[in-house]
Formats: sequence, C-alpha cells, structure tokens
Amino acid sequence: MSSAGDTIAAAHQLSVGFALPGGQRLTAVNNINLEIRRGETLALVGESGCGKSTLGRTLALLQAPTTGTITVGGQSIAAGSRLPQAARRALYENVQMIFQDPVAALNPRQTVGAIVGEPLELFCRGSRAERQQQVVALLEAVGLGHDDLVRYPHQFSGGQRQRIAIARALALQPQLIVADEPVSALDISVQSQILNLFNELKQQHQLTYLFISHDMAVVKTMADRVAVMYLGEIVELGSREQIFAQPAHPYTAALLASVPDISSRKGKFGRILSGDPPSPAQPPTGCAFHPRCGYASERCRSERPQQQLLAGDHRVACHHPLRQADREQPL
Amino acid sequence: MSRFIVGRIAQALLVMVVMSVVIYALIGLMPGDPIDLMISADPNMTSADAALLREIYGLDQPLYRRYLAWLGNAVQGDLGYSRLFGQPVLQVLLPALGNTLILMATAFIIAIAIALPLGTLAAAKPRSAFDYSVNMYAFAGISLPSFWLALLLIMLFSVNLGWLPAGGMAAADASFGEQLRHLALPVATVATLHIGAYSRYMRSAMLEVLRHDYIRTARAKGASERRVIWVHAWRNALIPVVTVLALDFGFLFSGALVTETIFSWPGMGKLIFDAVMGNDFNLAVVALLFATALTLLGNLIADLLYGLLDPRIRAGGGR
Amino acid sequence: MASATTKSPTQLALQRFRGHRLALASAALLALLVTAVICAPLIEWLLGHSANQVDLYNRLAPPSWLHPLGTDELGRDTLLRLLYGGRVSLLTGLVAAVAAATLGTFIGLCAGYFSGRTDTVLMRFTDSVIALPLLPLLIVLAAIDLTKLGLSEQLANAESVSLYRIIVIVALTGWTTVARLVRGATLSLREREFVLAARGLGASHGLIMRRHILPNLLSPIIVAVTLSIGSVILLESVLSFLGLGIQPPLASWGNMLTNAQQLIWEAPQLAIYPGLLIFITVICCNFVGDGLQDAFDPKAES
Repeated sequence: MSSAGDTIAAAHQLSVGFALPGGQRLTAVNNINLEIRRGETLALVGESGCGKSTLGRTLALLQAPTTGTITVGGQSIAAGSRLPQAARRALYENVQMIFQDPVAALNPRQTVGAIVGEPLELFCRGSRAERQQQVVALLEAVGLGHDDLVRYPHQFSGGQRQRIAIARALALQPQLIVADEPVSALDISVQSQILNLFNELKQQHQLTYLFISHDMAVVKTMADRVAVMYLGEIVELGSREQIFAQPAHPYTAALLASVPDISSRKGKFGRILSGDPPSPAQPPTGCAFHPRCGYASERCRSERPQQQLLAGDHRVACHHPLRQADREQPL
Repeated sequence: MSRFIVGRIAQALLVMVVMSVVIYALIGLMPGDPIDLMISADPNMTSADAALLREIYGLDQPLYRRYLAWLGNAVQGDLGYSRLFGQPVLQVLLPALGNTLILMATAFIIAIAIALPLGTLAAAKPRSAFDYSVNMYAFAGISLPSFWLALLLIMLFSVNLGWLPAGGMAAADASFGEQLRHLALPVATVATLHIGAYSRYMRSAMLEVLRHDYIRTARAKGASERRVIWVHAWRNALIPVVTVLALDFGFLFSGALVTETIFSWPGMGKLIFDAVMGNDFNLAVVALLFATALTLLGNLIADLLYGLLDPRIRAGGGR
Repeated sequence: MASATTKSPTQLALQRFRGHRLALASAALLALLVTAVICAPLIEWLLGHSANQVDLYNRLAPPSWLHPLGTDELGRDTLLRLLYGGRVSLLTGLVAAVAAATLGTFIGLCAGYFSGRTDTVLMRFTDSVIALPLLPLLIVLAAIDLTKLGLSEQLANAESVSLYRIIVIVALTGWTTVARLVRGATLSLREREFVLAARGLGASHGLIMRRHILPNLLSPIIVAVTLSIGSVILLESVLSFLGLGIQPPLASWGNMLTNAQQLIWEAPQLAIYPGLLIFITVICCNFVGDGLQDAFDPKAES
C-alpha cells in the first residue's frame, strides 16, 4: 500500500514564523523538506509546541509560509506569492483538514446538512438536490444517516461530531487530508472507532493522510511512515517499522520509551524525556535537542546536525544516531 | 508599566486635540452667529454694518482659520468673553466647576457609602430576599429617568411637604443648614440613581472573589463568615469596583447636566446647557472642552488605578 | 445524545427564557404597551376626539369618560397624547438601538476579524468615544442648525426631522458597547476551527463573517440591543425634556414632561404618567435583556 508512489504534497525549505508581542519572532517551522506520497498515511509526531500543527495548517493552506514552497496536487505556492483565483481554488479543493476539537470544529448555528454541504456549495458541485444526495451519501459513509441532516451539532456526541467533520473534509474528494490530533479529544472507546473509520475511508476513497499526533500508540496503528518533529524541525523520518523498531534519533527513542507497552521492558530505548522543550522563540545553539539529550557531545552544542540517510529512505538529523547496541542497552 | 502610562496619556491628549476641533466645528453649526444676535439686539444695524462686524470678528474666514486663531489665543490664556454673563469665560467657568464638585462629591460619597455595603451584603447571601431586593432596586436605579425622579422629589418635598427648596443654590453667606437644604434634593437625585449601579458592581465583584480558593481556605480555617466577607473578600473585591467608580467620577462632572438644570444648580452641566441654548459660543466651546478633559482625566485615573491596584497588571507591564 | 426532536440553539434559548418569570412578565407588559400604542387611532376613534385637539374651555380636566386620564394645559386628552407619545418614544428606542447596534457590529466585526492594525485603530477610536462626556455632546448635536449643513429650510424644519435627528444622534454615539462586545467575541470566534475549516475551503472573508461569525454573535447582540432600547428611550426622553429632542406638537413622553414641570404646582398628575411609562418601559427592557442573557448563556451565573 505504501509503496514509494508519486508525491502528492510536499514542503520545500518551508519556514513559518510568527511575530510575538514585544518584537520577538517565533519560528514554529524551520526550513523543513517533506514529501507526502500518494496513498500513504504519514504520521507527524512530536510534543506539543513542536510545530507539527503549524506544519499541518500550512499544508492545508490555513497558514501562510514565511519562506519556502508548498506543493499540493501538482500546484505549488511559494511564500509571498499570490496565485490567481482559479489556482487557489484548485489548491483548496485538493487538501482538507480535520481538527482536534470536535466541538469547535462545527458551527453551532448550522445544521449538519449545511455543514457537510458547504464545501459542495462553495465549489458549485451540482444542483441543490444533487448536493443534498451527496451529503446523505457522505453522512452514510461516516456512519450517520439521513435523519441527521437537519440536526444541530449540539445534539451529537464527540465521536459523532468528529464523523461529521470527516464527512465535511471528504465532500470535495480531496487528494490530501490533514488530520490534526483527530482522536485525542475523544474517549478511548470512541478513538478506535474513529481510527477504524479513517482506515476504511482511506481504502474506499484512495485517500492520503497527514496524520498529526502526539500519541505513539495511535501512530503505530495508523502510520505507513513517521516524521518526528522537534522544535520546528524534522529530526527523523522513516517507515513505521524503521521508526518503531530502529529509532535512530535519541528523541524518537525517548518518545517511544514514554509509551506504556506491556510486551517490552520499560525504558527499552533510552531514557524517558525529562523537562519541557525549550521555547521556539529562543532555540538552543547547535542541535536543538542537546539540552535534553543523554548522548549530547560538544559538537552537538555548537554544530547543527544535517539530515543523513540511513538504511533505505530512513533519514535522521543527529550527530550520534543510535546504533543497535545503544538501543539494546538500557540506560 | 511606564510605557503603558505614557501611551494612555498620549492617547488622552490626542483625543483632547481632536475633540477641540470637533467641538469648535459643532458649535459653529449651531443656529445663528454672534453677529445675527447683535443684529436682533440692535434694529438700527444695516447689512453693511453686519458685514463689517463679521470681518472684524473674523467670521468671514474659513473654519480652520478661525479655529487656529481661537487655539492661538486659548494657548496664551485668552479664552474669550462670555456673551451670556458678560465676563471672561474662565471667571464664569471656575465657580461653576466648584459648584459641580460640591454637588457631585457629596452625591458620590453618599452613593458609595450606601451602595458598597448593600452590594456586599447581597453577595454574602446570594438569592436571599435581601439580595433580590437589592437587585430590584438596582434595576429601578438604572431605569429611572433622572429628570422624572427630580420632578417627583420636588413634588413631594417642595410642593406637598414644603420642606425643601425646589431649586437654586443658597447664597455664599447663608447658614450651613440653608446650604444643606438646597443641596438635599439634587444630591438625593444623583445618589439614588447611582446606588443601584454601584451596588450591582459591588455584588458581582464580591461574588467573583468569594469563588476563589483562598476564601475557601479562610472558611476552612474556621474564620467567622463575617470576617471572611469583610476582611478577606472585601479588600479584593474593591479593586474592580474602585476602577469603575473612578471611571464614573469623570462622567459625573457632565452627567449631572439634567439634575443641575432642573434644580437650577449653577454647575458645569447647567452652564453647558445654558451656553448651548443661549448661543454663547465662547463659553460653550470652553465649557465642553473642560467637561471632556475632566472625563478623560477620570478615565485616565481609572486606567492607572487599575494598573496600580492589580498586581498582575503591574508585573505584566501593561495590558 | 441526539434527541428525536430537532431544536436549534435559538429555540433552546427561548425555552430557557420562558422559565424566567420576571423577564416573561416584562415581555408581556411590553407587548401590551406596543399593542396599545399601535391601537392609538382606534382609541382616538372610540373617544371621538383627536390627540392634538385643543379645548381651552376644558383645561386640566379631571378624568372622565370622555378623557380617561384627564386633559392637559391646552385641554388635549392625556391618554391619547400618551399613546401617540409612546409611538414616538418606542419607535425611536427600537430604531435607534438597532441602528447603533448595526454600526457597532460592523465596526466590532471588522476590528475583531481583521485584527492587527485595523483592530488597534478601530478600538482606540472606540475607547476614545467611550471616554467622552456623552450628554453634553448630545445636546450640542441636537442643537445643530441643519440648514448650516446644507439642508433646505423646509426640510430642516419639517415635523419629523426631530425624530430622524435623534435616531442619527443616538446611533452615532451609542455603537460603542456593541462594537466592543462584538470585537471581543469575533476575536475568539475567528480562531475557532469551524472558521478555519471554512477558510480551508477558500471561503471569502465576507462569507465567513456572514455565515460563520455573525450568527454566533447574534445572542449577545440581541441582549445588547434589548438593553440599549431602554437607555435610548431614556436618552430620547432627556433630550426631549430639555427641548432638544422630539419637537412639539409631536408628542413624546419626554417632551410631555417639559410642560408638566411648569405645571407641577397645579397639575402634578401630568408629571406622573409620562415618567411612569418611561420607567416601566425601560425597566421592562432591562428585565427582558437580563432574561435573554441568562437564556442564551445558561452557564453564566445570574
């Protein structure tokens, strides 16, 4: 399924910054290169504040890049440039987003029919009656029914609301769906239902997901490939097997160690993370992870590591990538 | 914090400058001009005389020229002559300011002295009959037309009972009791209207504070309910209330216009009203500007007080 | 969670409002007042004389079958004058409050939605207007000679001009509360994810504001309008009382009190009725506004 197909979306030397009150600048996404392949689920993981949501929103065209280029479905947009209306519409049509908070994601004053039908309406897909039929089909695809058309969001549970949001994202049959922590606000029992829905829909509609999460357990069940972000940069990128079995970056290892896993010994891959990530407004020198890294050397403090290719397309940005021996030696 | 203060002062000054232009222009739009009034006063005046006078007074100049000339004189301390009173504007203005201060300060203090305890007691027993009555009174207070209340008070205390004078201010050499008798009704009018709003502020500030953990801690330590309310909560609840009150005090200078007019109390409000109605251009401009400046000052003080009293803002260095 | 019946948030709020007895009674009373005022011509017909009919032989008459509330200093029927005055006062209140709220919503929406510099400029402006002494400035605005603004003599002195003028004046000065309210709410709404979702569909700013932000602002705006109808009626009555608002012979509750003040020794009842009606109307508006506030925001403590 996740064979190296063609690229459906990409970020090229992408940076996104925000001005803070008081003249400071915060670089949430720092010079990232990333390709999303057709038909895959690429998981984007990292602690909160690492810039993964910003990257997702930028790819979903909700956030303007500061520098660099994003490409979605063959259409590129560079920072600072303005596309003609038609090209912009094509971009918007190709990528849709699903949000974390299913309460805030739906306009409380719209009926479900209006919410799910809005994309079709904005893109003038068919007549009113045809749109209505499509909306019903979409609702049925996510496990809701015809009766729900005239209901309001407040009449639904969290899981049901997320289904509505998914139906809305599906409406235009986009090539890429960016899902930003789509299950982390839901009850555990509901989480698996929604994750299953994601997988079913992917099969049926040949979708591509950028799946943003901080929950490694969820990532393990969903991802084909995993990108690990730390402080605005992608520090490791590889297939699910590579990341989960052979993490090369100490940060990835630490993230995995924080997942409670009955089958493995505790602390299998390095130490559990301590402390908070530094502020992206004042990133450390050299490798951004060095203040929290057990392997940090003098070089890490001064020199920024470049991405290097390990086996296959497994990439890591670290001066001291973990080898098999490191991983097996509990600290 | 200092940046915050400087910013606020600069903004107030800017508003003052803009308002001086606006007020000057608006007064110019009022019916008639000084020469029209002279014409109506002197039937022998010809239209040629009028044109000459217009030229002498600079009234044939465009508005901005007249404004700049006025501003130039004003900066040098020459605010012009009041047509209505036949005196320099400042000599009319200052006594009026004093009279307003007497009326307003008295009413303000009485209103606070009654409203704050009312609001606190209401918050101490929310949803009690007492709370309910205070709430009803507050609603009545904000819904009563001030001039109607004034008329009712006059009807009751002057017309029917004959206890108090229906208006005017006692002469400066009158006895203190006489002064008070004249003060009573206008003060009662202003105070009655404000007690409602102030008690509502106090009540909600108090309820907000009583929700906090340290109040629960104080109660858990066994502090008496009276101590919790009047020592622990009261002080903190006062912070937002004081800010609102400072804000209101600025408005009081001009807000009593109706009360002053009905009771013929020779204060700022009545002065502004008389100047506007009597086509006293010089006086109207300056009096309005004074009222604006005082109101802005009240706002400024409220802002600064808020920063001073609330340590979170003080530490944060501005909003 | 999904119930069988479908109720919009507004319907739910109305349901809660019905539980608020004081507000409900106030709304009923207001409805009664409005009906009475609308039916004024009918009552005029029943009584057999018109509101402005002067009868100098019958000045300050006590209540009778012909004049249920007596007559005023010109022998005009007090009840009819009150009803026609009520038309003016209520209409001014409603129209001016809605006009002010519309202006305020527009300014607040722009400030909150576009944020940044637009927001700073608009809000500084709003703060400055709030910091002005309202009543004295209103008096100046009300005293302006409209012919100096280029209006023809005939137009400027038309009977209904005083009505329009007061509506404009109130709208020009009364928008600030709503502007602040709307701006604050818009600032938080624009970051809501359903707004982001609409932006992700390439929806225009206008559509997002119209469809996704404004409807969610409706309840606080309705509350603000209800509350401000009361204060507008108060303002109108004050200005009319001072002789600057609605001009006689057009009656308003405010200008009816102007004459009553002079007659306070001979005919105190003339000072009671209009004031009482103003008071009742305003307090009812405030109760209804308060009830709506609770109904729209069930979490808020009353």
